[in-house]
Amino acid sequence: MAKAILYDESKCTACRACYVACKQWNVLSAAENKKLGTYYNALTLGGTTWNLIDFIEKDDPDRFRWHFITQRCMHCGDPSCAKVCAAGAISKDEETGFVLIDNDKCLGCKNCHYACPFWEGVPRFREEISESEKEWMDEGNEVPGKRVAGTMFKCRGCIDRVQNGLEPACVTTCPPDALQFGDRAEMLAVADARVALLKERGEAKAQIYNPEGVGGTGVIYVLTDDPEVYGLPADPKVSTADMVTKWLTGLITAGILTIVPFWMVFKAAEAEGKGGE
Amino acid sequence: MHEVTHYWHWLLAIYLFLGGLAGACGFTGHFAEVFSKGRLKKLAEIGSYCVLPIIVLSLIILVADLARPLYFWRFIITFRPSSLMSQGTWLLTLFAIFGGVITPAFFLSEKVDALSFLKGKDGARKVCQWIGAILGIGVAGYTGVLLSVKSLPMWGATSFLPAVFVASATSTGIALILLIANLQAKKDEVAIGALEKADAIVIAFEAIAFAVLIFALKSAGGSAADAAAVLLSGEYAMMFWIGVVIVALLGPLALELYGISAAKKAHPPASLTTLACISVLVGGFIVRWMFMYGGQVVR
Repeated sequence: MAKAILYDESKCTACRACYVACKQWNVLSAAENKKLGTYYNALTLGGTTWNLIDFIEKDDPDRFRWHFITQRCMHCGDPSCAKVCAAGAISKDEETGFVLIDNDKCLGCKNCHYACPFWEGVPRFREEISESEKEWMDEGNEVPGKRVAGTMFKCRGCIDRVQNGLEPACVTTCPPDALQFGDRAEMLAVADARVALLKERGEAKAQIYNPEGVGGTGVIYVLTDDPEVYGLPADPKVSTADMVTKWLTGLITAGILTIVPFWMVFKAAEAEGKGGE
Repeated sequence: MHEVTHYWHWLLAIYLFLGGLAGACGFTGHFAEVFSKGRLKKLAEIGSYCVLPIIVLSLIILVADLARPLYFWRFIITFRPSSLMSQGTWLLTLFAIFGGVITPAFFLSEKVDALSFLKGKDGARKVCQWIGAILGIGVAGYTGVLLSVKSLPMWGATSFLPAVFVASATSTGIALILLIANLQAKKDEVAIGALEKADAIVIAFEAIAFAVLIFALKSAGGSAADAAAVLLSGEYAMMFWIGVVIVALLGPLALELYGISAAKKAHPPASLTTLACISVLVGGFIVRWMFMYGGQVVR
């Protein structure tokens, strides 16, 4: 049965324990960062940053709002990254629905990064594996997944934990239960109830984010404003959805060019050439 | 707070340019021969010689851009129809064989003794050349479709990027063949005049394709409109108005129209044609560069 992670913005305190838990469980070294005097501990997703909390300031007419959102792989029902991978390195786990990169098969072409409709491309590249991670592995310790330099990385849904009856590390650690984990249908029901409650409390824009265009997502959001406010596409689509139309546009152009200039001009050259030959 | 990640850069811009150029060399010369009923066979020959060096160079670039180039063979043994990169790998391979190796081998058999077993087999040559030309269209088209099935608005929000890429590729293919035909000691004025005319019309179509793409992006609104603004008035406006509008489109179009009208009275200077060709080729590269980098400004 497909699983889902539910993130409820209205419960989140932006403590970023999820970020730390992810780094810890997955043995991911710290990413190089800039001190900006803000609350950010990571500016962008990266090869060693599989989730982060983004802060959004919004000046609503009645009041000033501070929104939080967890940026991470959405584990699409119909993942664009898997569609475009020429090496066949990305697959969807049938049991959980998690989208997984097989780093042994990945060639580092970055096609998946550009195909992904979320968070400016979720799969991120690692040129090399850091010394601290190598040391950890050299000591005989295991890491979840495979660490191959020159390949793409992203959230794996802590599939190794889930297969052993645990929740993903970020969910287990979340102090205010803003992150929950369970069967997808159950999580959707929880989200529905929560949205109803929030609306009752006056959150007029409370809504579920589980977009149909990508076959629904394995990470479901309960938001208190429109998706665009958080940097989420309102209506994301599988990037290869219009592939046939796009091919046709190219081929029709080639067809027109073949008929109009080529046929016209070169046919005339035949007649002209007869005198010259 | 966002930091933009640029994974794809100039190396892939060169690759997309070369891929389109090679594909176009495979079909422009071919159709010149077919529609002129053999009169312009020389252009098919010139085009066919261009294919292999360009394809080999583009494949080297493609492999070099992989983070794990030594595993390139995995692309060859995997066929995934939903992946444009997989489609492209196969199109490029087959095109290199038919358009880059077999077709020019037939032409060379007239001059090289080692290939004399192919000599005089014009029927077989034509069949292979047809296959090569169709694959060439596929290769030129794929370079545009590859970018258009991404989630970046400038590339993928509309279906018109492949139209621009195909028109631009065709124009560069004609320009390269024209450049070579124009540099030959014994010039075929009929062929040169025909190529100039054809290129002028293709450039006009390319301009239309550009207009349609930008109009479609603007009317799609949201991030797609922001992407159009990057080209029209934003970070890449200079590259668009000077590099694309002048160098790729209006400049060579004006030179070619002048050449066509002057040819009626006297032979126009060959250097004008050469300049037009170089302008088209440089402009075609700028088109790829602009889309590669400009497309990544708005996510």
